[in-house]
Amino acid sequence: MDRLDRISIWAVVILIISSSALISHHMGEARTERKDNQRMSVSSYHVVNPEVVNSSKAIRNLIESSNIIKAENLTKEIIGKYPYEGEVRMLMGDIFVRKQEIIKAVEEYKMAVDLNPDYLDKKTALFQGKKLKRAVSEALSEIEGKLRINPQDEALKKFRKDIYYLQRRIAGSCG
Amino acid sequence: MVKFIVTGGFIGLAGVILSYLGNPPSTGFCVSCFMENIAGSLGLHGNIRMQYVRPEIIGFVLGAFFISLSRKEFKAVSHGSPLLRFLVGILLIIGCSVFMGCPIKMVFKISAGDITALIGLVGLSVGVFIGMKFLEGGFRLGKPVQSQMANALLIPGLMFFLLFLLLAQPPFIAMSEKGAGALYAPIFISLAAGLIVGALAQVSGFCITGGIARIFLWGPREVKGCPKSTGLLVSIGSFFLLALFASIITGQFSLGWHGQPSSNESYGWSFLGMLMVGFGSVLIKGCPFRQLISAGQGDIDAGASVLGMLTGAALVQNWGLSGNAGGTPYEGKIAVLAGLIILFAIGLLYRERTSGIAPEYQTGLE
Repeated sequence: MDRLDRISIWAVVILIISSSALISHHMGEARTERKDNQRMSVSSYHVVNPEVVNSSKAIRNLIESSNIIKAENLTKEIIGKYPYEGEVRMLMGDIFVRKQEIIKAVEEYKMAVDLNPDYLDKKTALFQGKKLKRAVSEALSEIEGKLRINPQDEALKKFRKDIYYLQRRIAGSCG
Repeated sequence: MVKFIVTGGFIGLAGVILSYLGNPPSTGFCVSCFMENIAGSLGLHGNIRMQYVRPEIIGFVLGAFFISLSRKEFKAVSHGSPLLRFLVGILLIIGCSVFMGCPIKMVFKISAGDITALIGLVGLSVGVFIGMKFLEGGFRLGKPVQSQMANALLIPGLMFFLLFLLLAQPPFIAMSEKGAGALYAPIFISLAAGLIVGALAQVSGFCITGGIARIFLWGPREVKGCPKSTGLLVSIGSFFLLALFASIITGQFSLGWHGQPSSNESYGWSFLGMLMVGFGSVLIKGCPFRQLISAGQGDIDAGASVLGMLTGAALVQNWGLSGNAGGTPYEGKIAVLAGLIILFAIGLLYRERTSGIAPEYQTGLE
């Protein structure tokens, strides 16, 4: 047994310990993620829910007529009923944009995109990439400004992380 | 030297143009992504966003096949370790998918301004270094032996079949209507680019991991004395420079750490994913791209690697191993650690401790 053998055996031992630690640490987490994945795959079939479609139309009309508070209340109600519908999350984001709460808007957009990736897919009718890109860049500059004043704010750092995530989603990938 | 500059330069230029013409961002050529697309199209996985028979892959193999026939270099050779190559082929694609791209795409990412991809380059280099230590320590795949010609025709034959499927698009083939699988440049441009790249790579021996390996094998000074070693490094350099130039011209360059396509913040796992690719590539004589080229010129074991890569591509999608914008999934992390354990075990088991670099690794080192 030479030096390379000894180093390799140590590497294998370290890798086995790391794998075991990772497996035991993530046991519970993995189960939750699997449930989430199943939920996501169900939502990706995109069954059209007539109530959501009608409510979305109503919400859009309310936003266009600048009846923002009513639109927000109705959207919250629909989100409570159907938390895995991307469309209402997207509308909630639009409402926050109208209220000039851009960071909150981006959080809603992020959830919408997670629930339905078609919002970032140029090949689909739902594509809203340009709007999201604009919102993300506005939110990022606002967060950077706030972080300059308060660099230790953990909530802002978390928001910035979400924005980076959405930026990467907008940039696209091969997978 | 010209052939090396032309090969690297053409890959860089053509890749960026393909991205510009419709391929996913920074994905003019990516063996792992494209293998996942092909696996999906053949029904080996069910991700409706990852199904397309990528003509670039077909082009790589057939380009190498035709040019090797014309240069009388098409030889049915086996090294006697097809199952090992199959297994490592699977691991290469898993490593690439965690990083979100093969070594070729890594260069495209860097040339498009993605600073995070440099972590992948470091990981790949460390992996190549580890692999070289095993080669120097007597790792061997087996002596190359002449095999039946029909064996060598299987992978080019498979590519002809895939080309037929792409052109005829029978109903049993799945084609994405959305997602990355639906993003593609015009078929004949992609195919032509793939054919030219395949032919050039066969002539020059282009290989990202091969180029890096030669630095570790001989050191930077000695590399200068070897035309092929210098050539491979020059071709990687010309690849990067032309891709950088084309990215800037076509507006695809965006220098930064955040918001890059096919990236995430799992830097450690990206490093380990690429380390696995570098390590495995050295053990089986070439990166995923090189396996396709070798299979095109008659290397039967490389053909087994290609089939392993196709299997790996299906597993990556079915088991959710691939990295994404949110990070590396738990399953992907376990797969990388398990893959590294397997590679170390292979390295230990296939060593002849009294020998140096095996003869099969010395061919082409002139």
